[in-house]
Amino acid sequence: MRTILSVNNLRAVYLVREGTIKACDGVSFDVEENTVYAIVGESASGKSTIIEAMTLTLPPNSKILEGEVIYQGKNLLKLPENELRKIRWTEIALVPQAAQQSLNPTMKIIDHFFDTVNAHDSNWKSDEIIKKIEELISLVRLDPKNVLYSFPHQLSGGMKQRVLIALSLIFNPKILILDEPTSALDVLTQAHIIQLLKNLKKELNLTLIFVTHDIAVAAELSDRISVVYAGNIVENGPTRDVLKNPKHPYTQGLVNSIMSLISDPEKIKGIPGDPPSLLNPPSGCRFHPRCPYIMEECKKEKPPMYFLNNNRNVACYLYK
Amino acid sequence: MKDFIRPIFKNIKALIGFIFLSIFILMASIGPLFIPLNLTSNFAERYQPPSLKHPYGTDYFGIDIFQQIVHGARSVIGLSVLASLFAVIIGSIVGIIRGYLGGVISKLLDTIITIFLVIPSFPALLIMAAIFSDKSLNIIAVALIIAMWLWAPLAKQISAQVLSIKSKEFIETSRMLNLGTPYILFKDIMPLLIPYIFINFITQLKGAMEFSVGLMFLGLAKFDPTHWGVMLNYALYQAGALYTPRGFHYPVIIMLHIILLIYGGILFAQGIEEVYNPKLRRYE
Amino acid sequence: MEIPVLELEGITKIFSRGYFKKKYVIALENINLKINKQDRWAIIGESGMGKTTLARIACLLETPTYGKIKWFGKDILNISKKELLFLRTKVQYVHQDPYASLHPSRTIYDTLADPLKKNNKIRGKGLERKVEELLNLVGLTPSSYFLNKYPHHLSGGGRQRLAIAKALTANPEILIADEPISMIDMSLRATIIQILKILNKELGLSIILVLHDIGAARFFATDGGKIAILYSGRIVEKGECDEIINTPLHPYTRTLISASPISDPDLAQKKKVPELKSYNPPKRELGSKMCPFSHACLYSQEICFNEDPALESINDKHEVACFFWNSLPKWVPPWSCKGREI
Repeated sequence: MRTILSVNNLRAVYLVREGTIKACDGVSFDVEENTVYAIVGESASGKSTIIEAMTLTLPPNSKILEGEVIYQGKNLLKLPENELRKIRWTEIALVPQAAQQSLNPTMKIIDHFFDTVNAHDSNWKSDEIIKKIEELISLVRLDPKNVLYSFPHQLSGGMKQRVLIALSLIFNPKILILDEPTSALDVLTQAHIIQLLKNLKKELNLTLIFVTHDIAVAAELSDRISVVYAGNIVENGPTRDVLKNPKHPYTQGLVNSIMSLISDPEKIKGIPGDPPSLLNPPSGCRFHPRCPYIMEECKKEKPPMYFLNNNRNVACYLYK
Repeated sequence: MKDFIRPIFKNIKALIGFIFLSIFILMASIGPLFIPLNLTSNFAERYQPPSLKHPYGTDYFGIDIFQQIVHGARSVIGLSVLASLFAVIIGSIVGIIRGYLGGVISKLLDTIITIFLVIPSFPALLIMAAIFSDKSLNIIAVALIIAMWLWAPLAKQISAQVLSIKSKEFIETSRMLNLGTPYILFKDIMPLLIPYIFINFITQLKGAMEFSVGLMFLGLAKFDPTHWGVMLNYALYQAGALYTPRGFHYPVIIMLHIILLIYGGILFAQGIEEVYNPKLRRYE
Repeated sequence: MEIPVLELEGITKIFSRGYFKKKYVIALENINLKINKQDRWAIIGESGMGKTTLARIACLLETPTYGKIKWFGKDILNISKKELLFLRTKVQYVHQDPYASLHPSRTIYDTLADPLKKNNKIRGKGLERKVEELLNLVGLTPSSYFLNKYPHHLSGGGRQRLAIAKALTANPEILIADEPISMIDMSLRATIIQILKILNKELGLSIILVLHDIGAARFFATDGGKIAILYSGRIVEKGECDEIINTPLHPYTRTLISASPISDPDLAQKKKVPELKSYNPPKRELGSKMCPFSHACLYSQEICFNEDPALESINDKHEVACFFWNSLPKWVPPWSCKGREI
């Protein structure tokens, strides 16, 4: 299958009063066309930074130090603004978290759509646009008559998330990037959003890249998964293999700490220690203070990615 | 505590402001010990430009301006500091009581605070000047009168702060652990208010200074010819200093001192605010 | 006959707004709960279903509109202030937000020492030792490292541990925790629940955990603990955890279990999303009678919209509030492929 997006050695930092937060430290991965790719990590692991760097939506106090994001042979990070505009939203679209203030509280939903369309100076006629919008809203299983003329605060979290998904699909993009699509939603709504994304991917031939802290969502939705810890990707591979047979000690710890209804209560165990500060990360492998298999070399230098069979790689000296 | 003091000096605005303020405070406190005050007029030396003998020159009466400024600093700063202090004390106590207690008391205090907020201060001072014009008031009384028109905004802000802190979860846990109301007031709420009160004290200094100068003009406070406000009054309206280029230095130097004093206070307050706000919101 | 350490009888909480045209919200309706010594209870409810209100009423941070609260057999809404003060420390509460429940400018040592001083009247070396003991108990080791740090130096999980340690300074017999893990990283959640289990087992504390994550609830209450499912302010199912998770009877409980996230990719992809007739509970009028889940239930019939189902005992470990529990289809976990057991 063809690789549609490629991230190579992305490094980004935030500049704060106390120093630099090394949020994204040499991240590389490839996304194949028409697959679902999950980036899993806990809070402050740098996973959102990866998305923000890829879509160039980083906050002003951050800097991309190096790296490239290759789409259709071009490095998105170095494209001039006018070319970027052609790609943004029409080919690669971003679905932000519903929990955040992603919708303008003073605008009706339909105005959001109009805004987006007008910003891309397409020459669609007004009734064409409305027809398309109604189609999209129905696609995400909402009632256009109710939703389009409401304000964001009148919608529930699940409805807002669906509106954001519909908004992102307005120009039929090829790639959809989602930032925590199911956080802050209750369990039933989560299940429905996941189902919706599965259907959309099939019906519209999309490629999905999403970031989440919830392994269960990744388990249900994704084909491939990357596990992020402290700004580094520690493991990469087909979802099924990575979650059923995790290789990196962090992934193992993470999988063992999940309290799902099917896990054996005797075996559930949290990872000891605390997440590291990205301001002064540990030397060498950033997981070494909490790793049960720590060796001398782990403290000295960051392990490179070792390639295992079946399209998996792990950044751990255990697999040298 | 050290955590609170060191960042203040790292901040440039706070540092410069502090230096300005210290110079004036030094001037007010020990200046008069070194510089004698000689108020005998000497018309031969009138309107001398600044020189080695008279660092700031002489005024309309030939009196050295520098010594007047130094001595005047005492009443200007002393009065402002006292007034600001009273305002902060009254404002904090009223604010904390109103914020912490509910019910009838808080509504009553609310009304009182609103009254003092709404009445325009300067006209009220005018009225008081008329009432008290025949009595001579000592510095404490004058400070109290000034404080009357300064405490209300602080009380309102402090009560809002207390209300928001009161509903925070750690107050609930203190109550559940039976730690008692004095503990909650003094060890939970107060430490969070102290930086706030402190900043307010500094900002009030500016207001108090303006008032004290105004009071001098109104004749409400004890007449002190070295008070900068009085000097300025003389300079502009009696000595006609603006009408002759030779007398130019007289009002300008006085105004410069007033401005620098207030500006120093403002810089300091702004610096402290910069230090405390991100700190209180910090979430490492 | 053992006296329950905490008992809720007919607890109802109605919030009203406005002066002239009052709007009512029924947050809790007729809650009955008996917590015995060294019990482990998990109360499961989604957001807006009333579980926080229930937790707060149980430890008297709020008062119910109707109903009785009994601590150690005493009706605490009707006792003298002195007695209440004495009993107060025995029931402690852990907040959801670990960032707000600790005073930001107090050191970790002072956070624990102050209530210890007040409640146990110890000083000096004894105080230090007790503080370190508590820190070790919640896993903040080495304890000497943490003494002079501030809460903002800890991670979310660390702060929650400190909040638990703080609640323990009063030597409580009952601990009520409201969503203690929802604001903590995934890999640290299991540790917090584990700490609570240890406190229950080794210190004999009765613990009531209120949360929306049914998986975490099961981890906490399995093997002897009890759970209660809350929907729209009413308990719809109650009983021993394993019994309910294995054979859920109420349609809402079944929906919750079906929608619960699974981390096994094979099973997760087989999972069928439960369908409901509607997702937003309608506003109920005061005094109206109907099953709170009737608007969404696939099996609802006319009686469900007109009568209140009461909690019926199926056996001594299981109670359910549904008219048709006996005639629902047999429960098959939606992820089961050839009888994979939970």
